[in-house]
Amino acid sequence: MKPKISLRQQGLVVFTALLAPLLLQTRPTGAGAQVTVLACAAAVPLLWVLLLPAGRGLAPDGPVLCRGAFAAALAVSVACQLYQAQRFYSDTTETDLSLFWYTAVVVAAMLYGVHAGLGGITRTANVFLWACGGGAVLLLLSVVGQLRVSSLQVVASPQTQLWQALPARLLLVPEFLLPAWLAPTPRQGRKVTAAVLAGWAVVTAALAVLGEAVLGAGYADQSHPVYTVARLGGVSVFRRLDAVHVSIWMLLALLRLMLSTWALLRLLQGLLPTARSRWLLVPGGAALAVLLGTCTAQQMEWVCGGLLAAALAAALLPKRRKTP
Amino acid sequence: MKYAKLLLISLFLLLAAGCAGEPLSGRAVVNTLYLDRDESGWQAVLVYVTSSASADAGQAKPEALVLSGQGATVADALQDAQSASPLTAFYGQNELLLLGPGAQGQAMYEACAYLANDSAGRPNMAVFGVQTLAEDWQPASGEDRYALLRQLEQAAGESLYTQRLYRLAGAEAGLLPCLEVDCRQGTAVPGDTRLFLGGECTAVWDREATALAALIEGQVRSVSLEASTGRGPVRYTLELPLLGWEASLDTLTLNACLSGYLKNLTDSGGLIHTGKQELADEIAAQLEETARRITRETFGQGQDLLRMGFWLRSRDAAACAELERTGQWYDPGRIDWKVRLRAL
Repeated sequence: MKPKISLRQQGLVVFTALLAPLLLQTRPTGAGAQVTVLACAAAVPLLWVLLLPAGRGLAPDGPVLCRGAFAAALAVSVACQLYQAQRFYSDTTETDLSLFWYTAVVVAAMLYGVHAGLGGITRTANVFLWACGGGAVLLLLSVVGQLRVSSLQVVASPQTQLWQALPARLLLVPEFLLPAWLAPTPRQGRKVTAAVLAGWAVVTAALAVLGEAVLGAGYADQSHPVYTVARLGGVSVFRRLDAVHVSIWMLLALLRLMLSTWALLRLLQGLLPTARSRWLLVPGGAALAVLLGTCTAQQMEWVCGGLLAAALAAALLPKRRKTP
Repeated sequence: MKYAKLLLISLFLLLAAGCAGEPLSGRAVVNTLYLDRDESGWQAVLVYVTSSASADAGQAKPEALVLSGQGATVADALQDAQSASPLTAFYGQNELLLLGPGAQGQAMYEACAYLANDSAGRPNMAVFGVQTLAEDWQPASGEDRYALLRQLEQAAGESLYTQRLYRLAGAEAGLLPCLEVDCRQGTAVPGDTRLFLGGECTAVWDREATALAALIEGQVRSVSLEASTGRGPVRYTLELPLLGWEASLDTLTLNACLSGYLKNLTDSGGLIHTGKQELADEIAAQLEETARRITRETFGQGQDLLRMGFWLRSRDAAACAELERTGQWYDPGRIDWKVRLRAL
């Protein structure tokens, strides 16, 4: 039985979770603000169309392969998220925190979030979203004196760079499918998905424009683009506000982990209802361990995206026949 | 109850994570960073402020101490400087980078790139060129050095043009405002501004050219300058400057118009009350000529450091790209300057 959370709350919790990878970027974007805005504008309708089968496939009577691929994607995503958050934290602070200890500290909070259920996670997301909004206002105020419209890079032929930037924007993440899975009906799921995609695109474009207006052409080459902008700002006597921003962003990363883990365990409960079937987790866990040991974080993101694409393709398979 | 215990344990783990952190007393909070370069490599001087007890029990006497080091790279020099002390250098409050004579030019881009990529520091710290050497920081006492530090901060604040670390990081050209520092006398005042194209200083800008550059970049809202006029030296304050950019798409040229008000027109005899508008027109003509000069020296040399070309590119990017491809874009005649000033 699906949890009784309103559609608006479902959309907000997924949108809040999607903010984490946007803010905790650990790789250069490689694309300027103009191309990013165009890529986001092109990606939203394309993604919405790609995600259309999700509501059908992730329904309780949908193809098992679809939910299985989605669960596998969530498992890979949780591993990616742990790695990304730990790496971001280690890079931006002077703490040499290993992935093992970071996971050990975070798992306790993650499991409590899973125990609290989607209702608890949603209520927490509201608080984190307000904190993030306050942080965004603070960020804007702190760098407004360094904003220059003339720093924005004007590209003569954005089409070429657009084709290079678009694949990165079309990379599927599990949060894109969550609204369809959580919504009571596929139609409602499509509406929430559209709202989440629009919000995600607006934030992505806004961050790119803000970053380039401050840093100029160098923004696209920054390893931690948003964090670099956060380091620049100061308000009154407070000259270093990046610790405030990092704290809020790490909370968003924790929320995303909670939501992904909760969704993964829920899916597994439905896919592997018996104790005997849960032995399938052993080869699954082994495959995940091999993946973690052999692939980079960026490769794992592509594996996750591939699994989600497989889930969407499997959603087109015939539904399971109900046993009379 | 079981989950409440689990939550308590997890909270304890989270809170205990900071126990291994460095206490504040174990850190040297770097206020100013000085870098220089010679044949042997880089020299780094970290200036940090500490307090020592004074005879007056109610006061702590601040003094500025230095850590010096050298190395083949900036990183090595900084590490060498830090290793001279048991304190851990903390760059989070470092807002001033001084580049010695050897570090100016091609070397400064490398140094700024390293510091900008280091998450410990601030990528928007102000960068100034100085003529002092690394050993000049040594002889002064902690109190004298502290007084010099305050002078440096004041001079940096008074400087018309501020160059940021991230603007020079990995760049090919840049403006470097200078400070005239005398470590022995403990004085520091704003100096001229040097234009570097690649590793070479191609121009030295006086206060008027520096002020125009700062106005173009929107760094200042009013500026006090001195002009040589037919009546002799005249000091004035330019208030409410407004810089308008009008692109002409037919000829692909840019009309830049600077307008503003002149206040406090003063000569050797005091405030000027007659013929103010004629003076304003004469000053406007001088500023026009200075604007054309800085355009020739930056845009005309293929380096749009003041980003003036943006106002034309944003109107017709394709045509501007074609001009750039054919080598005709960086024509100083492409930007026409007009200055209109009104005397108050």
